[in-house]
Amino acid sequence: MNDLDELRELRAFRGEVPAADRARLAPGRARLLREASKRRRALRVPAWRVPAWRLAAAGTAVAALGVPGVIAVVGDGPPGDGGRPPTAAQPLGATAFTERAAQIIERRSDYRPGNHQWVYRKVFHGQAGRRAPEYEVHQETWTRFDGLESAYYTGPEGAPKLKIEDEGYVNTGGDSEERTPLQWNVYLPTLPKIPEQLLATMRAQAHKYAAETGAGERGFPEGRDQWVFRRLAGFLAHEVPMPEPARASIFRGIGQIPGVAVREDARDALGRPGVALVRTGEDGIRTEVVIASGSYTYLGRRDVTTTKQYIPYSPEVARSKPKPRLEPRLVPAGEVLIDTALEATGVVGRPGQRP
Amino acid sequence: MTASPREAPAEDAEDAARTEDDAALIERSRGEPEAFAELYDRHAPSIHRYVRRRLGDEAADDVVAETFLAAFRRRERYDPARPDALPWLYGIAANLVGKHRRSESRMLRALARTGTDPVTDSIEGADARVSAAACSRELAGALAKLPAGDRDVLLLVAWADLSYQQVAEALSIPLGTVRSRLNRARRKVREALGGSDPTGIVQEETE
Repeated sequence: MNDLDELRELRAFRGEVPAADRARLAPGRARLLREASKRRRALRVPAWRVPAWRLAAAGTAVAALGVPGVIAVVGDGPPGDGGRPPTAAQPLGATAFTERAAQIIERRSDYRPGNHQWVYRKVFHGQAGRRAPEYEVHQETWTRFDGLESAYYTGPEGAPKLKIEDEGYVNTGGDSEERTPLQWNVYLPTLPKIPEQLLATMRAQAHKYAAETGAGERGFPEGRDQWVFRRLAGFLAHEVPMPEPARASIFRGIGQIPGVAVREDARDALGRPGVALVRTGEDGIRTEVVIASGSYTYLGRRDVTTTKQYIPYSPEVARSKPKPRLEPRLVPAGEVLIDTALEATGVVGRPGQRP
Repeated sequence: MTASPREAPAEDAEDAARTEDDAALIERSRGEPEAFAELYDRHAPSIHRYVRRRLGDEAADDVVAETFLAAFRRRERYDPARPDALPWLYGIAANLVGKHRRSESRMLRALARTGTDPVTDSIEGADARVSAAACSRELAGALAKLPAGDRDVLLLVAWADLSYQQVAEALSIPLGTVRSRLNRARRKVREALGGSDPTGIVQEETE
């Protein structure tokens, strides 16, 4: 046997193993994209690097725009009507609505899940791509209350598998906005109870984070108070880990933000009726947060353009890209950028279980 | 929108793929993390087949996914002077395969003992009687006995078609080490094959 033969034999050994097709490789690609999506959020918004609600899968509008979000909607106004904040008559309605919500919520007893219980969330992404698998359109996640594990569906459509992961994101620094349910449960009650103080705290945070992201004195393009509005509304999306007294304070805080209006004929992305807290930012994007009447539970959020505009990308990304490919995109007024609903949430005993 | 892994790449991505080498793509992914998925599209089929040949059907999907996740996390350290990322990816995959060493050896020994290969017997249409390699049992026995480092080098040459230089890059070992490991591994395999052949005539011990 000459010295080439053993290599020839070896090359043929297990040569019948086929190359994997696209479907076989899809789950691995999806895992990679999820990781990439996490990194993109970190790149875009270093200080508040995770959406207030942990729901954005790789490639959702949320990740693509760098705008944290969940949503629902109300009737679109005529194009161009929302470039300015609502006038003085409207905030009164918001204050009354949020105060009523706070008073009812304050009477409720609080419930804290056990560390080994799991927080189930089902989020509907109204803007998911047409070819997105069903489990990404109606995205279910299970996160252990202490954050040590999480679970989600992955794999080919028709035969998705529940993937349970050890969660690295529990190991977050003190300045991170990425929190486990337990950490949210501890953090949210530390926010000031007095609305003015809460707003002052959140405005200071907006200033600090804007400086960290390079916006400096200009602040976030949506404006400081719009940032605070979205952020507080985002806190409300934490249905399960949210202690009731904190929820009441957050409602009161939102009621004090200038320019917040109420629409009573709102519907979320799934068509569920509710009351929307509405505010338009300086960037001409109207954010509508739909709350269930009576129970004041969070239903969803929708972001809509009110002017024809370019949707911007963060300066960090533009700088770091030698060949920028995600150029600002020109969108007409009335375009829905984010349309997401918290379809279901609750506490269960194990991943895969639904409330 | 890249939510669906089944979505066809956008046209501009295809254009970019035609003009952009792996190093440029990895560089781009530093500011545009999702671009790394293009590297997956380019190389995952090769890496998957390599891993599947070593560890079988069951472990392959996870090892390949972990290979690309590890590569993604290390992309900042990628040497932009290397336009082809495949050796780098094979190196990461080989390290991860190493974590399954016992399982790999167990399957090789099973094949050597029984003539049935756990790696290929689940493949539809595969027929043990017409296996592409005539001496599978002997090969498996020899591979099972090789030190892990020697096996990595040998299989990167034989299955991944890497050059000696690329193997050195992949495994972060000196070129001389690649040569010595490869010589040793080939000699052992040759001995095993020679021993199996009753008509074995020539036993060459030199390169």
